[in-house]
Amino acid sequence: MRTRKACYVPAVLASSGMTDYRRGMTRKIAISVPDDVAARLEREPNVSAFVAESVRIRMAAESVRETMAAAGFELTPQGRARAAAELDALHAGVTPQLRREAAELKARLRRGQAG
Amino acid sequence: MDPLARRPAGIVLDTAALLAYASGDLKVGEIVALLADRGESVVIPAACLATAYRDVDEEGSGLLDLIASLEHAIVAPLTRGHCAVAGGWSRILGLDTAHAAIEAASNPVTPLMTEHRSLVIRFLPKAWPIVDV
Repeated sequence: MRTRKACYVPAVLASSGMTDYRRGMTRKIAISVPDDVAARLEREPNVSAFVAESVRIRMAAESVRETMAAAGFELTPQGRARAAAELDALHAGVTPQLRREAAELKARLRRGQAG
Repeated sequence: MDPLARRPAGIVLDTAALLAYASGDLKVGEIVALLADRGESVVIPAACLATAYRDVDEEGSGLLDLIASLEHAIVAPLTRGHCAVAGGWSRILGLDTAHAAIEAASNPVTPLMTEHRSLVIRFLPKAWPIVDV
């Protein structure tokens, strides 16, 4: 797939001597993305925040898998596929009727009346 | 607010699910890891976590420490607003499973992982998404 240059702004902090980055500080980088990704990003009012959040989710997922592997869980692509199939089947079975019933139950819970 | 704290709820784990995980059950582990991939959270009702701690050995306790500390895990407190319902439901479900069912129902049709399917659907809609332990 073709890629499109999304933006290009040279990093400036390094030249100003700021090399100790902490979370919350920002740095401008240049990236190239496929057309479909660029089209999606164009719908975001704050592309930087959207990309940062997406990457943080990926980072958290990597951390979770590393932590669980270190604890002895032998996670595999096959196991992931089985888990995905089970959850996807459950979500596919959620009907508008169930959503209505769930909303009614949630409202009763808020009132403390779901006895 | 940290964006990760706004993750949608991906599943609620009851005591049985936590105990299965604490004994090394891969099915629970795969689901927990998958939800991290999907940017969704794992909801752990505090009553279930406390009950699970009661029933595990030292190794299992360490694994419970671990799951509760994962970035996408949310340990949900039993709030004042839910106490009356929890009390009522606990007559059948026990307080821990009642809390789990309440957490599932408090989010938009969130799957519940439990070994008490037949009891839970006395309180949740019958078609509720349930993952059997």
